[in-house]
Amino acid sequence: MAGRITAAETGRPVEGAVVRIEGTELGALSDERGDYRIHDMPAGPHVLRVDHLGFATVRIPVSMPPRGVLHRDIVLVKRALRMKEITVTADAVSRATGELGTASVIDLEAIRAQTATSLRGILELVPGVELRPPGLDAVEQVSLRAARTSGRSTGAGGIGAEDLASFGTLIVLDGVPVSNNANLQSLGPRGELSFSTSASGGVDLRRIPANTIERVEVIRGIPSVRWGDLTQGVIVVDTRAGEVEPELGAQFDARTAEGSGVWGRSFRGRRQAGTLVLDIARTRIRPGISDDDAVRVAGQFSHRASFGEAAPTPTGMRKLVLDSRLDFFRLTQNLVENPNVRIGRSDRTRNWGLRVSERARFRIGPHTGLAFTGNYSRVSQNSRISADRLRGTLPFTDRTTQGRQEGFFVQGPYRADAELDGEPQLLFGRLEIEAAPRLLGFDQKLRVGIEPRREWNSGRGQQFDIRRPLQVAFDGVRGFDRPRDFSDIGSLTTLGLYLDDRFQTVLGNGVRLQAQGGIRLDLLHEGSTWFSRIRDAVVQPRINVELAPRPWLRLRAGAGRLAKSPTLRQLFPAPQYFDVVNVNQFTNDPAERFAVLTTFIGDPTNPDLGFSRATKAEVGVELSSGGASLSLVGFRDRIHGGIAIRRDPGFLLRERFALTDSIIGNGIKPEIVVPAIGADTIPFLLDRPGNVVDQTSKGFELIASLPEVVPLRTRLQVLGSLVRTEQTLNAVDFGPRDRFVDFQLQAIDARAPFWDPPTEFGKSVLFTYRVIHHEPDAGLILTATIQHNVTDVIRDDAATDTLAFAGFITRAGDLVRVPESDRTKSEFQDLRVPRGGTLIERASTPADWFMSVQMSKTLPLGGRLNFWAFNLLDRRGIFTDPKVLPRVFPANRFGLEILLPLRGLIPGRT
Amino acid sequence: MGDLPRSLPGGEAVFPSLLILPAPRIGLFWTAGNPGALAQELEDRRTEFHFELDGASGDFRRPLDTGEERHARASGLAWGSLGDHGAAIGRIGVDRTDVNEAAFSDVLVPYTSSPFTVIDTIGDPTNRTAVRLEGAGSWSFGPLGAGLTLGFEAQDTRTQESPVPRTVRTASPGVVGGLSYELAGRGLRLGVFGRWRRSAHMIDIFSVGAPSRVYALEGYNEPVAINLSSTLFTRRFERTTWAAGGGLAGEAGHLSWVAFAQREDLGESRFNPNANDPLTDQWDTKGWTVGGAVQMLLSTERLLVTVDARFTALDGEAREGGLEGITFRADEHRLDASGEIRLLPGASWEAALRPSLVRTVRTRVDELARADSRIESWTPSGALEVARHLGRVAIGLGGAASRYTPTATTPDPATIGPIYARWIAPGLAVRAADAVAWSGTASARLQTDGPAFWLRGQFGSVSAVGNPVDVPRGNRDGWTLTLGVVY
Repeated sequence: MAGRITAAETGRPVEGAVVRIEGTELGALSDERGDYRIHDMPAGPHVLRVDHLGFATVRIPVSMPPRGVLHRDIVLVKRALRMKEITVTADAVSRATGELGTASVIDLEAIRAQTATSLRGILELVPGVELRPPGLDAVEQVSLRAARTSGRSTGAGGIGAEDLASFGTLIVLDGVPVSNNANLQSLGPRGELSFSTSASGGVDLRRIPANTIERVEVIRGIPSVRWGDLTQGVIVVDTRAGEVEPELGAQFDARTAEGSGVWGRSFRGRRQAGTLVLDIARTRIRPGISDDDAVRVAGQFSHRASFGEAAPTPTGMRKLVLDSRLDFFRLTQNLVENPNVRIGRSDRTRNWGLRVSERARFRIGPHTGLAFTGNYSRVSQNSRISADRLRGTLPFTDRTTQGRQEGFFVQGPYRADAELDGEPQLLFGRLEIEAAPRLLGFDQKLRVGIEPRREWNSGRGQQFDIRRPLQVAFDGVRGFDRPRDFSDIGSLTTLGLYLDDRFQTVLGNGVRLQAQGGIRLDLLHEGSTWFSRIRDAVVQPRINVELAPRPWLRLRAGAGRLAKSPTLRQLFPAPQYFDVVNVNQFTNDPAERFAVLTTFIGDPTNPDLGFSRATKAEVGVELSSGGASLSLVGFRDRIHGGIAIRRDPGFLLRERFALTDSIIGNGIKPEIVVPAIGADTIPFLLDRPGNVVDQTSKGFELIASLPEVVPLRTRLQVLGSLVRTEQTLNAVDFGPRDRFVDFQLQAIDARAPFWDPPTEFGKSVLFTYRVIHHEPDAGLILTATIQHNVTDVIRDDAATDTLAFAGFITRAGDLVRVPESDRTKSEFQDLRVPRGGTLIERASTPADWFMSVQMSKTLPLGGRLNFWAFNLLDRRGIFTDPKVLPRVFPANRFGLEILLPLRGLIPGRT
Repeated sequence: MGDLPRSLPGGEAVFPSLLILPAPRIGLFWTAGNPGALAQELEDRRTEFHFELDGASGDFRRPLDTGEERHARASGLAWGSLGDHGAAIGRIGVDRTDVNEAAFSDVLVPYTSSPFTVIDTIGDPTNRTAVRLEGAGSWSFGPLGAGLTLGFEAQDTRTQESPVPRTVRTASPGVVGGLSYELAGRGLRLGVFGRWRRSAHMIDIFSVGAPSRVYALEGYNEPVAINLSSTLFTRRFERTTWAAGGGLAGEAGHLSWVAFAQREDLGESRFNPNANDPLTDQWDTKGWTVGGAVQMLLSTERLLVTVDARFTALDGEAREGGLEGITFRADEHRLDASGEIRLLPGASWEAALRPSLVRTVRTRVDELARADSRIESWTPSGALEVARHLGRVAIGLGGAASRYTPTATTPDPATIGPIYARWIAPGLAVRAADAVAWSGTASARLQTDGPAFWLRGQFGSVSAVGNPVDVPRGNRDGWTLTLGVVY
């Protein structure tokens, strides 16, 4: 078969058009004269399909004779609205599947057009998410609808509003939550050392490669009651599955190299399909400076099978559909010791995860179905840290139980090593009945479900040589760590029950009304089964309503309550050790050296710890007409009882002993004389997790997609986000740590002031502009993205004058409040000290911006070549002016990305 | 624009590349770079990709030139019409450079007109990844043509396995806008254009494993060493260049011609971006360029004669941060003239002779050091290339030679200081010495029913003539191997 392909408007030949015979492997490319030729076509009827970017696809039935050449010239017509075919942004006004809350939907085309290494990069199409260059450089998390705050009120390693928001954002991968609740890979805030970890925060999004994702739905508004264990929004990720043409992808820049492949094919009359996805990426974190790198290997095998006849409904669901997934990932980050760059310090984290899930949907009737989701996931985590320590002479003990014993001295340089092995596991199930009855004159869609969930960690725990401790400086606040076995940690067991209903109707004058409401009950159990005592329960009603008085106008509102369970780390915190020095005699003669220490163990477990609760409310308006759309949403989200460390005061008893021989130089080691000759108290603070954080975020989100300027083939999309966040800690503030330590160690200080905690305040106004230019004849798409930081504010609202103290703590750890009217009295003279540790001076950052560009060139057969340059002008931001908050933009990076469809490379003999 | 780099002698002779490049083109776009004329001057299509390996090594070099270096480069170029009234041209290139012995300079082109150059004592192996992307689109609206060129160039340079890691990052976007108007019936085209380019250049040196010294050269003055020990040295250069100009092109029978002129300004500032309200060194140039080209197809229609010439002049002034007044001045001129006589393919032979002449005059005055230099040079060169077509296969051979002849007055190193003598004076000495360069090339081309494939090798060498004082002995040799495909 042969012929010539020309353009209808100009009559010129069209080069590079893809000609295929549907249902066969035969095909060809048109040459510069527009000619195509396909050899060895079997006789009989066929459908010829012609594709070329910028032209409408043509399907022509042909009948091939047994012999000879069939000539067929083809005329292609340009598309009237070419930009409609080009999707490089999230859809502003569509809805997530089965949801009515405000959402951004990012489809495969937009994902392919976005330069991203992991899910985090794709989420930059959502309002309020800052742009970052692709790569695996560091832990990646995302927070929805929260501005950054200082996090200072929660002490060292404090939790800012952004951390709490990312912790409360639910990630759902192929219908099953990805949980971080059982992640214990952290040395904790008491340690002097730390390594890169996402423990106690949101999921590290680096584990989800962008190249394997088919669709992302970001529910920013009120999610339906199907979703639990969250305080913010839901990010629903569907990976590629089903029949997928084989495709290879590769991405290179000066730091990151990534390769990926996907292939899926159907069989048994398309009733079954198997898909294999593989992605390998490596980022050199500081190339040229060190060999630090992060490597990810991720893959998935999915199998879909359907049985029975298709239902006579628009969805055409078969009797039984089984969707099986097997995911694995391995993510390692190596920060290696380098004699030139990083001397005496290295750390490494390895995460290896496996996830098996099965989703079965059984059609009971035309409008009734039963769905079961089962999942088991396990991640093997190993973290190692090694660091050279240099100590002055300090007495130390390796005692792991309460009591007194002779200590030894740690001094000089030594190498401290620690290893942390965790194996967080998740068992998740959901049984859901779905029905579509007509009740009360409305078409309803009812869903009732039960969702048991159990998470635990069976790792070996934190191990280190106690005689070469990571930290030894006793300051009463931190104490010393001891090795810990995770086997004594219980499980996090929850049960969710929900009822969800959605209906729509058309009122008079064509006004369309949709509503979705439901109620969810989450139970937190004490034990490891769903039959154990209920520790906490929370009822969560949620509702979304949408009114469309005109086809182009939608008015929307929603409100609801959400809840997030504590993590294993918060439910079962590590015991805290405090080693008080009773005797410290360090002499030149090692034989005379003598130390006695008493070990106290504090149990920071909080029996009252329960769910973090949140309320969300939003109103919005959406306009869409032709190629333009506008979505404006106002929201107010509150978290009550977010979990953070509450520092509970107490005191330790330090006994003083006489020695049997206190003469230095006689070579005799002394002993203590019991009983003690005296004692004093040392106040201390026990880091106890508590539901102590209140957070309120309110603001607006804007998504505007302007219509294409047809003569320029250019379109503009604007994402805008204005968020104000306030966060307070329901606990007292003991000021900077060194000030409290000073109070502890100076026994003559009878008391020290404390303050009411500051209100952390954050404000962010962020606009992202995308200008998309399309040249269909050249197969070019040029996207310029400008991130415009209008303002950022981080501030702690707190009085800092000398009368700001709220009371004092005694050496016995008692808190005594002082009324405001009494604070000027002379008896409180010693408490009237300036307050420190709050961020009150630097208020805001002036507006600034940077720009990135991406040029995408289509390749034959649907391939694509992308060139991208992040922060094109290499703008640095502001960080040298002491009067304003620093804002540092990521440095310029550039790279190439190529997508090659394999099937099309050799379309057949031509 | 706004700069006349002081490159090492030897690159003046350019081969016609008979089997690889099309015959020279002249016009408002091709000669003056006005994108507004692209749609009027482009009718054919071309797509090519090539992969190139090249290297250079040798002792004949200046302190801030790299030692042994290797390049691997992949690039693509395409042009063609967009519908009936549009045309586009674009290219992309990705370049990886490995330097075994780095230059003692942190800037990529250390011998620019600017006197401000950062150097250090790091000579460790260095890698560089660079990308260049540029494209122009043009549309005709009757006699009026309008066009826009967008370009971006970025480089990421890092030392390897160095106790004093150095990272250098450059990002340079640029825009050119142009208009062209055809005067009906007169065979004339009038064009105006404007250019803008900005470069941000960032240097970070981490002295973590060994002490290092950094010198900020500021002309001929003896620089003060900055000793690095467990510290970070950071400098940022920001350069903005503007140019505006116009041109006129015409055709008459087999003769076509073009003339253009442009005014150009460059402003460059150098500062420590980690300091609050830092001291800033400023380098400003004002310059202009005039040029033109003539092309004639002789009556046999197989002989194409092309003559191209351009002259650039610039005045530069430097101001050092914290000092009043101008500290350094430069007055520089450069003339580039070349011609080509090409026997077009039509029979089995193809040939081209390409003579050229480069004349430079550089006067540089350092007000602080009270030192000045003046270097005038002539560089005549010639290249001859012959190709033979044997059916689908063609082979070509060529040779080229040039001679650099300067007349120079430079400061006496003994009167300034040891740093000047070590780092600055040898660079001037090389430019003040006679040098001779030669090169040879061989190429082959295979024409298939579809694309044509070609392979090209080139080798060249440059060295000083005689044994001039303070000039390195030996040669600097370079070689290139290129594989390409043209559609």
